[in-house]
Amino acid sequence: MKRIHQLAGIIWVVLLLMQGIYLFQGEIRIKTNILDLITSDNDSEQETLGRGKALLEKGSNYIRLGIKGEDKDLVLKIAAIITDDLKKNPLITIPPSSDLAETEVEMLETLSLARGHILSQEQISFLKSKPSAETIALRIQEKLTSSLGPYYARFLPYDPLLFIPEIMSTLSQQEILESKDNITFVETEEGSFFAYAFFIIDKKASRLDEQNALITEIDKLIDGNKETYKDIEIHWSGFIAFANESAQATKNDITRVSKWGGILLLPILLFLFRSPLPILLSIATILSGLIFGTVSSVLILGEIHILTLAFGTSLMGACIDYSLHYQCEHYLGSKKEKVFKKVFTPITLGALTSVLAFLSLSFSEFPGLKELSIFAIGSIIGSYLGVILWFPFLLRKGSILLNGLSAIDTNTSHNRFKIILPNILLLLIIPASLGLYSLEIKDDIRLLQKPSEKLINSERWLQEQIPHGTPSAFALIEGTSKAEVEKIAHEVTKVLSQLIEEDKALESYLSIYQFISPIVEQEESFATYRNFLKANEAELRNAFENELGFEDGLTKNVFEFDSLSPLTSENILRILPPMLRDLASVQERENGFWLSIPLYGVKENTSVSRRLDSIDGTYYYEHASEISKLFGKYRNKSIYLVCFAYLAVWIILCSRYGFRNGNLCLLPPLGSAFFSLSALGLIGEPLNFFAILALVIVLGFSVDCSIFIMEADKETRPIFYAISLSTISTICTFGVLSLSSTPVLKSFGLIISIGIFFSYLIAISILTRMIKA
Amino acid sequence: MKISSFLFNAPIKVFITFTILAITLSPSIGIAVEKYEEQKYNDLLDCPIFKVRNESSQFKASFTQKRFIRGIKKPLESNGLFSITAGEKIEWHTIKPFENIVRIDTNGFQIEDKLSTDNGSNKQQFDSIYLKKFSSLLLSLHSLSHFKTTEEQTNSLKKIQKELDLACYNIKDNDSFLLRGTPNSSSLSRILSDIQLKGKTYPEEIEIKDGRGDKTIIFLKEIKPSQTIPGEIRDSEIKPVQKTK
Repeated sequence: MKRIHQLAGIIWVVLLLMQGIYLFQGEIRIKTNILDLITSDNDSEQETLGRGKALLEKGSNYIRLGIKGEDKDLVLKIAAIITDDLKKNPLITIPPSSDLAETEVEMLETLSLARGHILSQEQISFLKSKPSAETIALRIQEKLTSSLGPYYARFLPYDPLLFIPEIMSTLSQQEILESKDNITFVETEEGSFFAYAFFIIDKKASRLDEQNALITEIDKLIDGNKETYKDIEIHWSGFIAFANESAQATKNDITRVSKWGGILLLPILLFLFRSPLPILLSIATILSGLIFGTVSSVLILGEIHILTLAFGTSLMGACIDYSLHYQCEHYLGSKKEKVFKKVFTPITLGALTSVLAFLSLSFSEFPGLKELSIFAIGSIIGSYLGVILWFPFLLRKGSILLNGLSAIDTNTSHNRFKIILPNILLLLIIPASLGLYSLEIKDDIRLLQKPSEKLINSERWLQEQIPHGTPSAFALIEGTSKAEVEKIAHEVTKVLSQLIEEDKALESYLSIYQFISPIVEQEESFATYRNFLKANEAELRNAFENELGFEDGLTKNVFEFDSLSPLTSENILRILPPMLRDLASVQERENGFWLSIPLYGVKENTSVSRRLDSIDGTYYYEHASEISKLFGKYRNKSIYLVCFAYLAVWIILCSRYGFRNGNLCLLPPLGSAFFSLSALGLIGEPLNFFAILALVIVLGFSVDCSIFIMEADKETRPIFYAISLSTISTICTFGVLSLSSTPVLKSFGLIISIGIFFSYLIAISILTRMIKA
Repeated sequence: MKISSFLFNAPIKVFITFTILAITLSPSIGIAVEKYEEQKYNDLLDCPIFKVRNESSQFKASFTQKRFIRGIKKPLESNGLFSITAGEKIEWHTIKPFENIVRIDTNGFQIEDKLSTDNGSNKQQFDSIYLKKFSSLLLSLHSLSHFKTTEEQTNSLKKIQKELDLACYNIKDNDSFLLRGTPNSSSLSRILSDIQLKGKTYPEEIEIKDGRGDKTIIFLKEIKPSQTIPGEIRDSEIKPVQKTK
């Protein structure tokens, strides 16, 4: 048996080495996209968010650059310099653009082929009123001699009857001064000049190190130019900037937790054990846990999110628990032959209950929690195996006297605690209740990321300067066929136009279906147009040639309507630049077709949402509120998860210790939940989905205290030291995590630190007393 | 970038400049443009248009406009009255064949169409950034020969030269000047390829060629200081212009 045990220990070492090599040499993909933690394609409740994710992923490949100043030539010069420098980076490409002049001609030709089909209602009514040939000629002459004559004259070869320019003149147009080589140049209200450009980032830049290098290069370029041209404002922004900042913040958290967790713990362990061996063994079990946790996640999920890694680093405070328990028992307690037998049950039960607690997280629909659950379970199992398989053979000889504290009769010190602490805890119930009462609930996407002021300011500035930059929301349209989606799109554009003109609920939207009527309507328009021309051909020819002086080609053009056809989305999309084409076209998905219409400057979310949601097949999508809604749903469901976790643990405890003691064992976790939530309320932190889930983790850790106490014999010193050191180690790491700038990590850190602290107090002051009684 | 702006990028209102540039410049009798002997003024400020000194900054005149459009055999003619307060506002009142009024000031353009097919009128206001800039350019151009002071004239010239490269020529045949402007920005050059002002003291003929090759020629006559500010043209002053060569 002993040999098998030894062999298992060696095998575990070998396995860990292989896993370590795999981690260091393999290309592990670390995700930084926040949405990967939130959205799941398999969740029907996330369908809307899932669609939004597809939209956001498209936009996430772009970055925007904006330059503004009073000197027009200088602004253009700087824009050209920066664009040229950015183009040199292999990860940056320029979106394909079209020559405006050529595109204009293409558009005119396209509209010309559809003339007659795209008449406005006023124009149709005019033709139906059967105007005379003289009236038609007079109308054309009036337009050509008016102040807008040159504008109309441009359309003459394409639509001699000049119906198209009338329609075009009603559309508001952006006054672009220049657009060349990807740079668009406009004049602002204040009379200054603004140039902007879009760039595409290669997907290879999703690796952290490459992303970081790219961001650094762009920042250096921008800052260098800002330094040289102090009167010019230059900003850039993009999804990659936010993702990178979040990733860097999380990396800092990982470094901080590792560093300060070690700095705080090591002296304590050295002070107590007076030997490096316990520390080395503890480090070994931590590594065993973290390596196995990481490899499990990568093998099962394929990739790991950086937030999971940050959380995982904090787990080292928990992974060390079994090591501390074993070593305290070894150095302070039983004869060495009996140590393993004595600690095996409590450590195993402790690991089992922790695994159960984390397992309950995996039932959540929240992808991030599943990832976290796998990582945590792997870490606990890894550190457990490290203790069980190695320590019996590594902790052989003699015992190391602990520090002078070992001379303390903990029974005596325990007595003091037993008297004072319960009273303190009872007194704390009242303020804690107030804290609980003042706890606010808040579900917000900003839980996952808190960008810096610099990034927010740049994003805001670019939003304000670039016309129709980032949409504030979308109208999502779905259907079983493209025709169905287009039909709904026509209805939606009418509603959106009403919302703009009548309700002033939004500023504008972007859709080619503003310009394209349904085919049926176009055919009716064309029938009116063709019938009128045919019925009055002779008079019209006479009026055009003699009164207006049309050349033969122009007159002929009027009556060549056999080649005309309706205006379709394909006609328009062909002319648009690729960047707009993807956004404006109907996309095919697995279960049908869909179209997104970007909405800009939404002022009244509720009324826009209500109007759009009332149209079949249409959804109003606003990113932040969708995620907040999702968090709210998860928060409600998470209460069931917490209950499930408590139930599972309770069953195990009652099976082991009987009904009464089993219930008593739940006192520390229940008390810790109460006090930690109260503390949140007192310090003004809101209750959110992640805080509730942190309670599950607190359950897993705090019930270990109960188990160790229940499994202790008359000699309580080892247990006292073990659970004290466990608590200190957990607080050292999760306490540092609570200083994170990422709100979700901060919530986790706070709840777990406070929860563990109170569960410790309850365990050693109340539980020990009640059990012994 | 909005689809509508992409579909038709050249601002519709910019076309007003094409007409108004011509409209705002002072009157002349028609001169055969191509056949003259010209000598360039080395110093632009030697151009006679800059030598005029006025006691009043308010002027009025009658005009005839001919527009030559590709695809139409004969020129489209119109006539009416214009008036100006140099540097402040202009009114271009077309009487025939269709009545409309164009008003230009530093805030932009207003076009009032007295519709021939309707008894009502249709007013359109164009006051976007781009058109405000052009209205300022046009006022400056028009006012060049109507300012009271050199300082006002110099300021106007600076504004014009931001958008147009100017050159002035002496036409020996009839002892008049030719001031030619070509756009120096790509946005304007898509609309306008060339503008010419001709006259003896005040510009009396304006010719504008656009990017398509269409041409507009405006003849201005009876240029005189006016006690009447734009907007108060009386019916008695409305009479057809006799074009002389």
